[in-house]
Amino acid sequence: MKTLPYSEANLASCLSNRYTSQTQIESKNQFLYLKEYLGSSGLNAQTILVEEEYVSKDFLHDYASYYAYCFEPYPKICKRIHFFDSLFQETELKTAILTGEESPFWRHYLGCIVVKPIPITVIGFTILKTYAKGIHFDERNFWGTREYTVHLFGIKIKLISLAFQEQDSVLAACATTAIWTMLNKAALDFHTVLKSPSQITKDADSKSPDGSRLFPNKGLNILQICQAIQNSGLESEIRQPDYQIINQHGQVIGAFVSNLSLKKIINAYSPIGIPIILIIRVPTDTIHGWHAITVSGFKQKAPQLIPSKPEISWLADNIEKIYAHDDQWGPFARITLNNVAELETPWTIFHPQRNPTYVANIVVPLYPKIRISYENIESIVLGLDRILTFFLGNQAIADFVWDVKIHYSQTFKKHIQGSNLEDEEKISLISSNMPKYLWVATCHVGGFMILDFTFDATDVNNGMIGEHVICYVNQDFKVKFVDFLRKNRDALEALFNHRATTSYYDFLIDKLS
Amino acid sequence: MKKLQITDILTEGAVLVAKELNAGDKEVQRLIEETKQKQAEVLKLGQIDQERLRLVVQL
Repeated sequence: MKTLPYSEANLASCLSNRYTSQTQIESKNQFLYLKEYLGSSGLNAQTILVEEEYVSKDFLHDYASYYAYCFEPYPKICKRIHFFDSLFQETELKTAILTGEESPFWRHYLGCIVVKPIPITVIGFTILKTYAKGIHFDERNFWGTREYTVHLFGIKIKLISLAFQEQDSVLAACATTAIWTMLNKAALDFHTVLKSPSQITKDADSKSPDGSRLFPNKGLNILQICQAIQNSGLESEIRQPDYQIINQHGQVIGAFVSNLSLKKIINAYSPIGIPIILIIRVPTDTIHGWHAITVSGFKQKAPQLIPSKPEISWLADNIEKIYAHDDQWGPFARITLNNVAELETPWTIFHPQRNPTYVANIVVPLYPKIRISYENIESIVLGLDRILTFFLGNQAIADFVWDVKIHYSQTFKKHIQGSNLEDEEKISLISSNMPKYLWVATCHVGGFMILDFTFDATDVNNGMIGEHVICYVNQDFKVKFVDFLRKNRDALEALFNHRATTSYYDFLIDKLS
Repeated sequence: MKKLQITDILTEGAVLVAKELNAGDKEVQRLIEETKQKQAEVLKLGQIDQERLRLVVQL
């Protein structure tokens, strides 16, 4: 083992190998990103510890698939470098190793990077601490992370992160790496299998999209991405573009996902915790290119008092930034959402004209049992919002703000436990049998949560999937709302644009009575 | 923690009544039609453009 004080030069030197010089490392996008992430304005690393020989399971799979068959004798043993936010000498490290896990020394651990013994694409399995985080508004909420245990000299160090690696470009393209990152979290569920990048590429198809050989890999199309996800035990939902860029002649020159749509989808599926894959168009030297990244967090502003307005208001609209693993830059890259559909990614920041990035499609990996999609719930919520607007008119202190999310039923029960409902109502709900996944549409007025509508996410969309209507306002509100619904059935029933229109209207009255 | 009161969410002096809407009112009809239109647009987003699925992601 070897320890070095943290500096950009030492970082570059540690990341270099027999096939990649320190100068080549210093010109890589990933190095530009990591030196900021680990530097004084980031995690503030102080010391680097180098483990000269490390066997990486991920690299071994890829080694056996490709590098073992090369004439060049590539080594199969990697190097692993660790980061600490404290300055120390080797003697202090030795004392901590002998003391064991209870030594406060290990609290300064920031994570590690596996350095692969191959040319240029050296950054292998990487887990680094996130920046300061939390689950409340105005905090960075990394919902797509998990706990990892790093085994170092017999010491087990726990770390919350999401694994990162750069694409190999031989065995994997960016899409493969994006799937690999997502699976790192999803595979905590026993139905899902975590595979190496080469296995994911093989799962996608037997040949490249242009009909040529699969390895060296030239990229995957969206169908192949979905196929690879399915072969790991998950299903995919694709979100289509809803925004068009039109030139001065009225011609459509691009179709993308609007930022509002992106925020709604990320907000809706985040409680399940599976990272979401974005297919993005990034500015490059040659106009643009198509790329895949994996979103694992966001930062959301606290709700504001919104005056009544004709369009429906969404809590998701308060998302200001998202955090994504971009294999060509680094983990938890900050992405700012600007205007209607523009993203400020590292691609934009480092582009000479700072041309924006756009989202072409969203791929949401899901457990197979989740069968009802977000669009089905949003359609119902649009009807509910109109009914409530007719009921309260302009008498409400602020506009209704909707929050639509999918939850595990146990999370929803926890939310009920901490609510302002009466004890008897709480017990009745908590002790009832619920589907594993529930869509929950919450209506807020001026910062107050007034209603929850829940739907069975595992059901069949043709039927009435409503489960509960939970009212956080007193009995008088409920009585008047039911009276309003009964008086106006003929006019309002059509607001459930669904085959089970009547059943939905009855469900509302029944659950509120 | 107690349940919210109606007055917590209403403007000062407002009284909540279960009014009967005039189904023939043009404004009511317009708002209902507008909502149905938006619902149709949202549901359309679930329909996949097959051509788009062949987009190769390769950076």
